[in-house]
Amino acid sequence: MGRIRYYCSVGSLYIKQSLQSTLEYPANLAGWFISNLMQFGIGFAIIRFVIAEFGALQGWGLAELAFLYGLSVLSHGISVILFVPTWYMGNLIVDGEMDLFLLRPLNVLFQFLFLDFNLIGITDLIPGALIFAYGCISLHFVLTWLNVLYIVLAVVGGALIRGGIWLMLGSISFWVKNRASFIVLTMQLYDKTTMYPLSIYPRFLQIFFTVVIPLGWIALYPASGILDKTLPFYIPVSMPVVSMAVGALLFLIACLMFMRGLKRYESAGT
Amino acid sequence: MFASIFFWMAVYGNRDSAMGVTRESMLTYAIMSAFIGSLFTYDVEDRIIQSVRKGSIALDMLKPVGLFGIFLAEDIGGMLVALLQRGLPLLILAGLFIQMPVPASGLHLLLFIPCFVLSYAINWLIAAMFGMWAFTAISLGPMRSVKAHLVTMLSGSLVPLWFFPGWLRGVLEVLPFPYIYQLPLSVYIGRYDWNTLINQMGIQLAWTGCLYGLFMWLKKRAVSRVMVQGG
Amino acid sequence: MGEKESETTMSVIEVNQIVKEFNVVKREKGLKGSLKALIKPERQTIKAVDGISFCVEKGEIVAYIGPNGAGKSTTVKMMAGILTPTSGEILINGVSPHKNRKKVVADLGVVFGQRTQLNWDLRLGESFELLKRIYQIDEATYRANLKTMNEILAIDELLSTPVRQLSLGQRMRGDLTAAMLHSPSVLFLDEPTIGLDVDAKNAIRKFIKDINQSRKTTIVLTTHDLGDIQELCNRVIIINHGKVIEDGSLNDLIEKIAPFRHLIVDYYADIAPNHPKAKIVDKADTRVTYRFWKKDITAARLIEDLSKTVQIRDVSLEEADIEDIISIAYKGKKAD
Repeated sequence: MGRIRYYCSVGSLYIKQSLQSTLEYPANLAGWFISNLMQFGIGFAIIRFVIAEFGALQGWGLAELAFLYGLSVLSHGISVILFVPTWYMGNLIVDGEMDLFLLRPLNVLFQFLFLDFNLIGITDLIPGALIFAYGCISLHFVLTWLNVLYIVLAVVGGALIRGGIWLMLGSISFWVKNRASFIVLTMQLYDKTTMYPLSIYPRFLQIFFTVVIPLGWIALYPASGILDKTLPFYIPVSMPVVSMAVGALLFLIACLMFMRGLKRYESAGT
Repeated sequence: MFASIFFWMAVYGNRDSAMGVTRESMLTYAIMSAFIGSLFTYDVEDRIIQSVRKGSIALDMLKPVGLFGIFLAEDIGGMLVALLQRGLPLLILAGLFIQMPVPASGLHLLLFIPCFVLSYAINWLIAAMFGMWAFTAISLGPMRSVKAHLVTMLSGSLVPLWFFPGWLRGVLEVLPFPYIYQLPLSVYIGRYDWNTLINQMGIQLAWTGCLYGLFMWLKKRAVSRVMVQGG
Repeated sequence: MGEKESETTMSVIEVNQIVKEFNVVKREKGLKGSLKALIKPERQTIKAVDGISFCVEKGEIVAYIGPNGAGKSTTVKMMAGILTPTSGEILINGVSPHKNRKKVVADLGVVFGQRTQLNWDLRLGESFELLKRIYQIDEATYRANLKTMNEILAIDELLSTPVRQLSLGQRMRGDLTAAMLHSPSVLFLDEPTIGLDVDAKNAIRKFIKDINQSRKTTIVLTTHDLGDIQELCNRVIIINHGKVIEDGSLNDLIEKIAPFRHLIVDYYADIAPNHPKAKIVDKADTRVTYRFWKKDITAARLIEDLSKTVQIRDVSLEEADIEDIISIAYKGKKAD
């Protein structure tokens, strides 16, 4: 109990100081706000133009696609707030910055994850929320308590899947010792698998993104579940709950991988 | 890279054509978009920004060999490597599994080449000028991101501009972006009649000229500033 | 060794036969070499630290020196719990940093001269607040430590400055304070004076002396600055190729490696008279350099003897140069 209180108190100060750091550069925050508003605004507009010409995409109309896209951007925003240190993990490892974490009487993974609580993610959440709201309103979606709970589970589960994959990829640097950045690649992959239904892809890719790399669970399956769309499989639990479970499991595996990597770091140095 | 091909396959569904573009042409468009996208590998932006960060820009600019000439030569070299490593494999894979991206005619293919050269030039000049301008900006990260989004989304690289509403298309066609992706790709699939084609290529050439002039002016200003301040 | 037993007899730091091996992939030059490394990597084991042992007692200041790549940083990292030794054992206050990292580092201060643990974007004081929370330092101790640090390093004037605006010397003052906030009994300083100007260096040295005297803090210092060693350390451990080659006081070291001095005599004429107990090592015109051993003859006696035969214009006495001594020690042989 004492340990938990201790970690909470340290964690809250980490978060407070991260927020302070971010606010040191207001121009940066504003810049990202413009950039993200543009990215998601134009991105959604383009989907709209295409749907206007062609009608529904694999049975998904504009409103449903907005719901899906919004849900995806929301989980993206949360993952950006929570997991930004994973993006430059290669640099931290190669430059020996992990040494500093090891010098403090505190869990290393904890220090790493709390290193950079990134307020800038809010600039993703705002356009995400707008698009999501547009989808909800067009669909006359009723925000019952249960639906709110589902949405929260879906967003958190999605963020954990995104973050878990980043943490795994970042941990590879413990073994191969390079700075390789995987962020552009994963972002593209996340976009392409969460913005529209996976059913546009060939069968084997659908299975791959459901079972092997579970990107379908970030937004598509929970959105399908909430909107009562037909799914290519049957699971007797509601989709957002499964999504949350997948996220939690994936993130747990990623944490274990980090721990293994850290052991290797301690024995091999930099 | 293949995502947008599958996207178009799904969007067309059972339709044969939309906005006067057949399904086959649209897939060719998407494949060729990925192909030329893989050739647009620019280092010039990074190189300038790094040179400014390290403070070596003053020395670099005063060297007798043209700094930007070197960057351009390196980028063209990089493009040739990208052609072998990514461009050709991509075409082969697409040809094997989707369809062969065949040009509308031999003449269209012939016209595609100068169009592509100019689009490469426009993209490169924008990157170089952005590099020169960006280092004075306070927040580099978001600026680069804005630029990248503008080039990707408003150039027709993902979705051609003919799907955009008329007013927006009107605005965009005045800007240089559509001449980076959309024009060479449209030429390749033979979307334009000859009049429009000549007209569009004229605008592309004019944009290249304008950007080159702007680039030279910026460069001169940057060099004189370096001379005065000594870096 | 049980903890109780060690309480009474142990040294603050015990390093016992530690070895650290690294696996590196051997690379050959050229494309062929790169390909070979890719397909069939030839692994090579390098012993960065090869059976090092020493003990440090409470309140000692030890200089841990050696040429680049000798294994200094590797040893310090192992003592600080960052690296795990391949074999051998390290005990800091009787606890192994490898087995119980958190317990050891809670009582340890570490400063890397080339790296900072302060948050770049925040004010210095805010970084201290975070450390206060992490090390669970109570308010009274925190205040008292900051006060002491202010007396030595004048830290108060920096507290509200963002770390990114501090000069290298100011930042080092901040890092040293950060390392002392939780009153550690052991301090590892890895090149603390690197790149600093004279004033900043003096401030750092004063800090080390004061802290050592007032708190009996045990300090291990790696440095390339021999001024640091001369001024601070009562003991020098020299390592090279992963092995300890010298361990003792600086005076003993001088005595062992270069137990002689030089007498430079300027004559009126171009001559070089010999002396049975001194050796001529250099002659330039009228200036002759004699090397003599303290145990054989005193400087006064030598001058007296020489002036009996020829007239002397001027004399000067040269102590063995510390830089030369260290350089000779690195090579692991005696001066000639």
